Amino acid sequence: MSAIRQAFVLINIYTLIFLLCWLITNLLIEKKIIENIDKKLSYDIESISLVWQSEKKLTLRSSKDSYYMIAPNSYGYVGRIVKGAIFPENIINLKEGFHNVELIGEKGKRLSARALLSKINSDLFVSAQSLTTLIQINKTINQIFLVSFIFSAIFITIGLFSIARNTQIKISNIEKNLNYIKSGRLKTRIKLKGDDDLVRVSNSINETTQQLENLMEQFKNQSANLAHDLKTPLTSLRLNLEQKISSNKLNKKSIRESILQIDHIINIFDTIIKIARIQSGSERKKFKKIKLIDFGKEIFETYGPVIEDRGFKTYYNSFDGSKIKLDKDLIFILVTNLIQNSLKYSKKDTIIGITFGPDQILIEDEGPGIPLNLMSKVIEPMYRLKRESKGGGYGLGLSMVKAICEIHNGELIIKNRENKKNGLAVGIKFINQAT
Amino acid sequence: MKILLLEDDGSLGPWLKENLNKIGNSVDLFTDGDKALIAGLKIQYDIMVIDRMVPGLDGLEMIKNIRERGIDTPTIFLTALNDIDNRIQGFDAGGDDYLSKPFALEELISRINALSKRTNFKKNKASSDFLRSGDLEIDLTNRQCFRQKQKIELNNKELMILEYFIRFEGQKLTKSMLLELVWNINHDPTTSIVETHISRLRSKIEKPFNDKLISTIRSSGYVYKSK
Repeated sequence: MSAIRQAFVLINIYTLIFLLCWLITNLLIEKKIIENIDKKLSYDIESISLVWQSEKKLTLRSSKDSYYMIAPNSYGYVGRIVKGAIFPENIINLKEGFHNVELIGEKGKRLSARALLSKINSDLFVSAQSLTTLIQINKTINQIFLVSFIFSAIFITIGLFSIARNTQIKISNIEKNLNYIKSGRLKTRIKLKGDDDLVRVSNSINETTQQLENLMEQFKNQSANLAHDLKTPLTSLRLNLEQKISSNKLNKKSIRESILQIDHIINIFDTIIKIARIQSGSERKKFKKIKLIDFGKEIFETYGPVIEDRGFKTYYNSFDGSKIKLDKDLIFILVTNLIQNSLKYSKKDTIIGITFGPDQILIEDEGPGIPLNLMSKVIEPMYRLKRESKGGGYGLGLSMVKAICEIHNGELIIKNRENKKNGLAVGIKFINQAT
Repeated sequence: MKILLLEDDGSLGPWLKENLNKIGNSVDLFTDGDKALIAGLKIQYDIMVIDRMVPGLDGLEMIKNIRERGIDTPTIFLTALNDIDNRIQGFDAGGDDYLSKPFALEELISRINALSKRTNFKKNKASSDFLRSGDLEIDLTNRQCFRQKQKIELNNKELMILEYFIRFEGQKLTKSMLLELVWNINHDPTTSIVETHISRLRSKIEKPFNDKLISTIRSSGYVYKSK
């Protein structure tokens, strides 16, 4: 249902409820006034009957709205004593009790009245009261309700329709932009002003589209880089084999070299697939809450000896803290990549430190660090600081680290070490994880 | 060993069959899951090597069927589906090991041998907490190692490596098998984790006694043999 139709339905519901309230208010007030009049009439009848029995006369004087009549049986009900108004001729035929009647008042003016008929010792006593006040009150209430209805209805109609129109425009805007996004125009963004729910939804859609655009961009770059990086070893492999065949030198050694080159290509593939899987979030289900300090001990037990055997010094710092929700396998990959980089870029005999806890993991080395202008570049897939270096690597390590940080909602720490001439500190800081 | 091989690839299947036969096995090659299931139910094999995506009944369903009928022949899944979910599915269906394509023939042979050995020690309940191999002893409960009654200080990982060497004595354990068994990781971290820890283990259990228990097989794996 469109927003305008919803507004129309709401206004109809409001009108119905208003009318119902109006009716109920009228009925309740009328009932209360009639009850009071009836009480007064009963009291008046009692008074005039008592005086009649002792003095045979009608002593109560009619006030502005009260009228009395006595029709004694001794007169055969014909002779009547009346005060204040003319009672209808047939009133003596009515049953005892309360009745709504019409009297003729001063200057022959007809008036509605409430009357009580009572026969005491076979004489008929009638006491009546004008209903002018009740009618006046009813009229006033109706006027109040009508005026408030007109004003509130106008106000609500204008308010609701403007809100509905505004909503309708925003929804159409979102719909139009989503159709653009659907058709592949990922640069489309929904521009809405304000701070309502639809603006928040639009902002979320914009963020998702941005993410999608980034991923597509990454995918395009990755595919292009992948094609480039695979073509090089494949070309070299092909040339190598061709050369060996033409020179009849295809022996075990050359075949083993070719296998190594193929393994290299397979590794690139595997790494890219792994990054894609991490980025897709499908690895999230293996997350468990563990203490970094315990996990760090296990990691250092594995990597401490590796670092030392490669001719470096090492240390392990641990800080106790809350449990962190993480995927151990992925964090193992993260640490492996960072240690690998430190081993690759640092000079022998320098120190590579491992720190775990309370909410971060940090690998620090005394290598050359990263020039500030290249800090953002190094986390791009296939980017290598030393492309000419023979240290291997596919330039995928830090993009893998970044993907692992993102899936943990963590922050990638990458900074040149303060107060050190050389050195880099890289790691992950877990955010909003404390329990 | 009598091996059931389910592989639909026209060149890989016959090549594997030929190479596994060469080293003394008897391999029955099947290219579709339905036929392999019938054979698996009728014939008693020592090992089954199963590709997951094959015509007819797929490899996973085939093994599920076999396990439901109470047949517990050790099974290695051989497949290009290498992610963790697929590995878990493979183990849930009743697989015992998982090797992703592309792979080295040596790796497959080592895993086949290890799996057959692992099944044997499972059957014999030999996986006790106290292991003895020649003059080497491991007390797994107290995490202690002795050689010629002398206590040797090993860290946790070194002890685990030694435990698997003893359990698979005489069998080649590849680097990736050790990574899976000791570190529970199924990717190659490309750092020399295995080499470093084995080198340290050697310096503790071999060097002081002037002999060699662990041999390196052309950088693809290791074989442990007791004295």
